[in-house]
Amino acid sequence: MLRVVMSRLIVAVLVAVTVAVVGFSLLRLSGDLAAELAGEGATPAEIESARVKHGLDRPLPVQFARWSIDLASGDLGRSLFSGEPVADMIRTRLPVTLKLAVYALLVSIGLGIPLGMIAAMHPRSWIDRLSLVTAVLGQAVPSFWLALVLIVVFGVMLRWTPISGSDTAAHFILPTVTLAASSLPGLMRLTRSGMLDALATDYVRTARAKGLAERTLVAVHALPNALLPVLALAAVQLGTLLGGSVIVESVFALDGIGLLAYRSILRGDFPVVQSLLIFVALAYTALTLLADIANAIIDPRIRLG
Amino acid sequence: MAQAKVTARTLALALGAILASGIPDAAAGKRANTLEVAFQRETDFVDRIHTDSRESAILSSAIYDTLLYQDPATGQVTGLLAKSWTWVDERTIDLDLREGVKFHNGDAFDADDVVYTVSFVIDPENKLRQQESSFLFVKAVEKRGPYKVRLTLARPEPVAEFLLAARFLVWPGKYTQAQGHMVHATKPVGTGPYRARDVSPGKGVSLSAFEGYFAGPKPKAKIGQVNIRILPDLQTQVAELMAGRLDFAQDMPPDQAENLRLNPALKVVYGDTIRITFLSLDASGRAGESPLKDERVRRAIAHAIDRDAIAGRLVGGGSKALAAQCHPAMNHCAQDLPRTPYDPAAARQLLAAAGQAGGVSVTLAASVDLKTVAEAIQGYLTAVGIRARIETAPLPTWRRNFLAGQSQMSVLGWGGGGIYDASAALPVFFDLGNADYARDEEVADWVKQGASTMDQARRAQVYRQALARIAEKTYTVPLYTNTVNYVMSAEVDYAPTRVDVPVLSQIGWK
Repeated sequence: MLRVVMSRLIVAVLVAVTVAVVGFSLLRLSGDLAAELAGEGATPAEIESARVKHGLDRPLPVQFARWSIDLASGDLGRSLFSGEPVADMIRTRLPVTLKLAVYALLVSIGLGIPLGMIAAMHPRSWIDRLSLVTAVLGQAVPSFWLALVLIVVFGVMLRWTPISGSDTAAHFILPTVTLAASSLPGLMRLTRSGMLDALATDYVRTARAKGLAERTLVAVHALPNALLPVLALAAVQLGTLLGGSVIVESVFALDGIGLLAYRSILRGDFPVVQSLLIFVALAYTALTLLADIANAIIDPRIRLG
Repeated sequence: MAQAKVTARTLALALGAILASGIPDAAAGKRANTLEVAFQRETDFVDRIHTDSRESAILSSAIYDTLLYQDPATGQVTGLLAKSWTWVDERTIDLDLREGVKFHNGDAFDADDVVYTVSFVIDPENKLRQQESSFLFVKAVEKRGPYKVRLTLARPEPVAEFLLAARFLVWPGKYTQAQGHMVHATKPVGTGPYRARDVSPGKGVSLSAFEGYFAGPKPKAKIGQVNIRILPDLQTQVAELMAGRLDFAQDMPPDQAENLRLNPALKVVYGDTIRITFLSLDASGRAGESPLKDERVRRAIAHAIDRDAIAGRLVGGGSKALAAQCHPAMNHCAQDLPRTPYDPAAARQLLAAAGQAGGVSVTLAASVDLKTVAEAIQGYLTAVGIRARIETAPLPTWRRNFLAGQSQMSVLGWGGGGIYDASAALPVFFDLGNADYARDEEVADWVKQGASTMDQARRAQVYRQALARIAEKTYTVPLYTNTVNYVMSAEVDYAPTRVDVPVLSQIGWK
């Protein structure tokens, strides 16, 4: 187990380095950061001055090395635009993103698992087909489009929910539904296939032959086995939700790290973007590792390594 | 079963409580004397000393006061924190400061605050954004009495008054010294008509009317509270406007604005601005060999484009075709120079005379926000046999390429810092620097003279010469004046000014 954990940690470091290099390169190739820093009405001389001030006149590898050394010593740097420490920017915005991701995951699990179970218990029925259609739609519909439809219906026409902001729990309803729509289908389909496999096993057939009630059969014998891969997927989904809320946070004006990333990418604020990329990549890797460990603990058949 | 009913009821109650907690009163605006305003972009700082953006300009004029005041409707400069000023000589200005002014924290305003702030902004070590063009024309500041200050200029600066009205706001000296200048990013304190109640990075800014605001040329706050929210997505702004939870938004795409006009609870108003849009042509061949080096081809391009149609039909909102390479409201922007009228037949003749009757191929660059204008120009050029390939890019990328000398032909907008003077429109593009595609030494010399002499007659003469040469050689094709639109609740009363940002203290209720 320790060896597996160590190897995953090495993978995490490699992922972080790759993400940092790729992110840095893409960001620096996408525009002139000095022009952006100098401001819209800046003269060419002032743009050059901004370039020197922020060290952007140095070769890219030197700039990257300098940022990496600071990172290695625990300093995420400061925003090039506001001068605010990046660590503070992330810390103040992370709770909103975490809240949204957890809400979306809870909704996905709360609806996905029961729907998957029902679909598996009635294969090829209208319920099963409806769940399939829902899954396909949930994964196919772009989140920005779904967000706008929800805003128009529930925010503008019915006026049941707030449209933007993060002040109260009600502000999270539409963003949660939007984000959950993309993670729910996977959990639902995996629960369904797991349940179908479990219901077809010999021990379930034996239990049924012995006259065990269907509810007990499903709850005690089939579901725990069917949920093992769902647990792993849920952990991975949380990582995806943390990193995938950029569009949703932007549309609903939630001041989380997704919106911060969106804004920082547009401006090329690379200390902020780099830190966010590494944070999300590491969170994703850590959650995947946790899911593997949890699986190994729950299921004695799984032996890591 | 009973348990399931209780659970369902509990869930329903919880959901109801969540919903009730979060939905703002749709009619909150006028009744609660609270204006809800949307910004598309967050600003790093609310003061125009640290940064200079549209958002900081809006907030800065609400929270702070500058030494002088430029009337946003007429462009005339009057006194503000300095109630009057005297030019001692070409490089010296004496300011008489207003007495009895209070900062939002209760500190009294005097010469020490001016000396502290001006000393800060003219110190090159502070490396402020656009410091050279905005602040460094002032070399020194000297206190000459409790309410008297002398500014010594580094050079004769004919637009010094405009510059003193732009970013020369005044911080409370003691407060800023004790807290550090970065305190103005989160806890700004000024003398302006609104005081900052809350500044939340990423979320917005809340302002309250400052009851102790002095009676001066800048109006007092007309609304009790202003909440500015960052809504990056324009569709979200539209939804909030339609739901009645937003009172004021700006710069909507024209089609969206026209759709919102159909809503009886909303109104859309347009305002002219000092900003212009023009076509830059690579007359000097900086981007490589090109047909645009031939004056006849450039003139053909100017004849091919119907600028009145672009201004009237595409831009709309009162936009007007430009007669010269500057805004007509700017000082020394001659309007009686010969114009190149829309004449496709003349364009074809000029192309034929240039040996290009078979057609010319050019590249037309634009930032993404000007893509529709570039497409319109492409259409006009195609009609006379000029094939224009459009290259659009985000503004920073386009700007990098433009300054690197890679633009054969570009559509670009220029605001000139809101200064009503030809010197705000010409020098950057005709100073033989990175943005100059004409490379005409005589024009550069005239423009330099205009920006450095205090003799207004001489300035008028040299700018006229420069503008005439620019038109004669078709170094650029001036296109149109920019407009701005504001979508607001029908209860809101606001008349747009020439400034392309809203003036919060001029917004009131009907």
